[in-house]
Amino acid sequence: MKNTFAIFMKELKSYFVSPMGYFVVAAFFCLNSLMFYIFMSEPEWRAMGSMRLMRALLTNECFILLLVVPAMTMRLFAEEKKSGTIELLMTCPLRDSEVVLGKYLAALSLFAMMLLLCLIHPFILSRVSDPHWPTILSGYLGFFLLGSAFISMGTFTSSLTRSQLIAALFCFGILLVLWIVGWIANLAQQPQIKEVFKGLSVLSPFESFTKGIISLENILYYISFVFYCLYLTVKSVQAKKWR
Amino acid sequence: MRSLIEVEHLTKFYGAFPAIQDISFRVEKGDIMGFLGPNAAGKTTTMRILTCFMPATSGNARVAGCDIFSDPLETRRHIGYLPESVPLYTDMSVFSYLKFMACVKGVPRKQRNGRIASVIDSCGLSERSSDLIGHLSKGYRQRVGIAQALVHDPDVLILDEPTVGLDPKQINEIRGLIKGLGGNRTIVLSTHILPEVAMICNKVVIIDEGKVIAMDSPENLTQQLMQSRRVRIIVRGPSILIEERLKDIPGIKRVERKNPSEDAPCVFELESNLEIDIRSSAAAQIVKNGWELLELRSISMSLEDIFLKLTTKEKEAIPL
Repeated sequence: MKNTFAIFMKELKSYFVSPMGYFVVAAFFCLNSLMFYIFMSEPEWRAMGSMRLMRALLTNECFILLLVVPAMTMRLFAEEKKSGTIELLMTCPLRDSEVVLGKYLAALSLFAMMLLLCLIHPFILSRVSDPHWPTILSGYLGFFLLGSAFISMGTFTSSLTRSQLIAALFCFGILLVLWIVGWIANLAQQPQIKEVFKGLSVLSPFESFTKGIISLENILYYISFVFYCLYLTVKSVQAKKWR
Repeated sequence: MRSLIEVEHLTKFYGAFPAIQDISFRVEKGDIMGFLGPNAAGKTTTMRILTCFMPATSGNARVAGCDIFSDPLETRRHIGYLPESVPLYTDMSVFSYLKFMACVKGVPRKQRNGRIASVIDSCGLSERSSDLIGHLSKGYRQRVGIAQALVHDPDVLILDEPTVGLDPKQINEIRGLIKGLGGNRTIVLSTHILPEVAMICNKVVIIDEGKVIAMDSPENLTQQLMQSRRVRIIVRGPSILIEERLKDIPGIKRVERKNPSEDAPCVFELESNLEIDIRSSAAAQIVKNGWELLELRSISMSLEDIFLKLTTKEKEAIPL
């Protein structure tokens, strides 16, 4: 636990010694705020009511998340592999799982900061209308869980390669595929196929959160997604020992 | 008493290629052991196995009483390691880096600042402790690398080519630093520079193509491999006559003329049995004949010669 915390603090600080951390947070916040502004100023969106507006906003924010997460996670392991510092880290009295967890939690905290900044949007909305807060918070919970799952995938792809670029592209590619299968589900005619593709989509559990439905099944979906990706990361870090 | 490092029949294959084969050695407490070999001899592989960075294909090893395969976490607590490329986080300051390393190496919170101050002091980093590591010169980075290896006060220090890529002044400083660290600590350092071993180490393991080919103290190695004593003399006089007279000296095995020219003083190399010192009888012989003795000195075999002799032995054995 103490070791995980040490890694966590180091990783979190290193986000902010380079412009990368500031850039990612600023880009995410500015793009989302711009989108919020556009939605608020379009009469047809405003006519839809605050609830549907927030839902549309969150769903669009997912796309920005898809672009931002690879940039956040690409350096976690790839940079250490490239510079060789992984050798020193792995010869410290640390468990592989502690290293993976510390790094993951650092990226997750950065995401949590970004999300907290974005909570200003529903506050602004509440000044001009009367939104249903529980539904909004449920949507943000879903968004946070979706982000945790994305970041765990990014952590895994970063552990596969020495190149940050490849790690980012690989993460983006996998997440995009897991996203697009949701569209296939909508196109499918047979109900069985529809169910299979819907189950594969990372986005479909999130959608029910935005409707205000918090189900254990969906929470467990994301938690197990994260767990599985981190498990793969630990195995990938250990893979050096099999060769 | 048990040795601090015990390596038994360690073998590592990369695919079908054997990086090291059946390596065994022991290092006692307080020893500074030089791990000597040409490039790609298996030095780094052995060190990576000892630090639990990668497992061996077969064999056993214990460091400070811990089995490196069954108890890697405890083993790592006893080892301070500096890899060859000196990988450091360049975006951290020296102090915060050492603090992070002290933390992950399990130095208790209360002792942390004391330990960091002590390694900063002993590695000569006091003036640079707030600088970013990325801004430091190679020599100072090497010091930071050694400082992080020392920060948890390990019993065993493993340094992979600690002086490679430094300028002569820095090399001297780092060598002095390493020498000063010995005493109650056991140090294993790898190198392909021979004088370094003679200067710092009290034990040498020479490996070549993944096999241990010699293991002893630098002095003993020199002794063992010196089967004969060699003397070089320079004399002014009739060369053929001198050569004949020198051959008459009892105990001499071989006389070799080094320069064929007649006018210049003659240079000879004399080889004798190890037990007999022929210097005085050679001098007496020359003086008796009234020739001018310009120089007389014994040639000792350097570690370099031994190394070359050992690593090229097999090739020499093949008849031409």
